[in-house]
Amino acid sequence: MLPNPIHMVGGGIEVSRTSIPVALVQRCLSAFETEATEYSFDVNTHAGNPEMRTRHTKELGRQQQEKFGALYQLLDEFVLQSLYKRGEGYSGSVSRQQLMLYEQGVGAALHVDDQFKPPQMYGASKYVMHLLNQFAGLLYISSDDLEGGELLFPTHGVSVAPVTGTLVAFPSNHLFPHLVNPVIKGRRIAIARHYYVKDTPAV
Amino acid sequence: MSKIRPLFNPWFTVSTPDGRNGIRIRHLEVPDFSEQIMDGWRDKAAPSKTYNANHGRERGRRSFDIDDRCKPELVEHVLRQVQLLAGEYNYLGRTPTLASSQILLYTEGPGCPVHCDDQDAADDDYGLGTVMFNWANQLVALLFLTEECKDFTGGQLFFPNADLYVPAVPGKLIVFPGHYKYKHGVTPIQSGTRIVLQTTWRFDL
Repeated sequence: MLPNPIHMVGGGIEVSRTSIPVALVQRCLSAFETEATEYSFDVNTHAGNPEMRTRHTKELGRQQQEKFGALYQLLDEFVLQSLYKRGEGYSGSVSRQQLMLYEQGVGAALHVDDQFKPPQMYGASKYVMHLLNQFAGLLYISSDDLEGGELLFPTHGVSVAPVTGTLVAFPSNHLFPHLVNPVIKGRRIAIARHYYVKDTPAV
Repeated sequence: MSKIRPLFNPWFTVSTPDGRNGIRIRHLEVPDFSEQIMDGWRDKAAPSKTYNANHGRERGRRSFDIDDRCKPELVEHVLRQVQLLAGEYNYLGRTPTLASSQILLYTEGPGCPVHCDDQDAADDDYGLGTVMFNWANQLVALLFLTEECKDFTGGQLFFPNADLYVPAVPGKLIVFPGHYKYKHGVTPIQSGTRIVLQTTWRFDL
C-alpha cells in the first residue's frame, strides 16, 4: 500500500546545553585523527549526483561510531523530552544517524531533512520525501579554537553556535530549512539523528 | 532560498471546496479513433510510463503507450472539460497545463494494481521510507475510447476508497485529483483491448 502523508511534528527549534566529560570530548576528537574516515552519506551522491553534495563532511566507520553510545543516549534523552513537551507521541525510532566532522572550510548548503529534489533524469516536477525523517536531534562537540560553523535557520532568524555540549531539536519538515556556515578555524563534530515519531509508548 | 522552492507540501490538492469527493464524470462527443489507435499499436507500441517501471508488471500487467496523431485532438476535448471543472477543485481562475498524456492500451491480463497518480514508493532508489512525488499531476482525466462488453470484457476502473466501479463507455471522461485519497486500479481484463486516453494536469499559480 502507498504510504499516507506524514504527520508533521509541531513546535519550533529547541536549543539546550549539556556538559560532556572532557575525556569523552578528547576521545571523540582524536578518533577522527587516528581512525579511517570517509565522506558522509549524502542522498544526492547516493543517487548518482556527487556535484550536488550537500556537505563535504567526514564520517567514522560504523564500528567506531558505536563507541560513542553515551553521546547518542544523551541526544536521545533530550529529543524524547523535547517531543514530550510538544505533546508529540511517546517515542521515536531512529531512521538515520550520522557522526560528522566539519573541518576548516566545510559547511552545509541550505536543505530540509525530509525532502529533496532528485536528479533531472526523474523529471522536472519530481521530488522525494523521506517519510521516516520527522524529527532531528543534533549534539555538537567542537575544538576550543572553533570559529564559524554556526547552524542557521534563515526563515526563523535562528543561529546556533556549535559550542561543545549544545543540543538542538527541530522538526524535519519543509518549514525548517537550515544550513551550516563554513568552519573558519578549528574542528566541529556534529552528531545527528533523525527520528520517526511514534504515538505509542516505548516498550 | 531558491533551492528550497521546488519542494512542495504534499497536502496541497486535498479536497474539493464543497467537501464532496473529487470524482467527476462527463460524457463527450469524440470521434472514434480506435481503429487508428490499433494500427498505431501494431506499428509501434512502447510500454506505458510510470515512475516505478515495474509497477504491476511483475504481476503480468501489460499496458502500452501509443503516440498517435489523434492524441492532440482528443487532449483538446479533455482540456475544455478540465477548464470547466477547475473551480470544483479549488483551481478557479488558474490555467491548466498538460503535465503528461498517454494513450493506454490494456490487453488481456491482470489490469493495473491500485495506485495514486502523484506519488509512488521510491524505496528502490532512495531507501526505506522514501516516496517520489510528482507535483505536476494535480488533476487526472481519463477518457475512455472503447466499450466494455463490446470491445473488451473485465477491465473496470475502480476506486476502492469510494467503492466505485466505472464501466467504460466511449467518450466517458472521468476526472479526479492525483492525491492519495483517489487511489484507483483496473480489474483484470478477460479479453479484448481496453483503450483510454490518460492525461494529467498542472495548475500554475
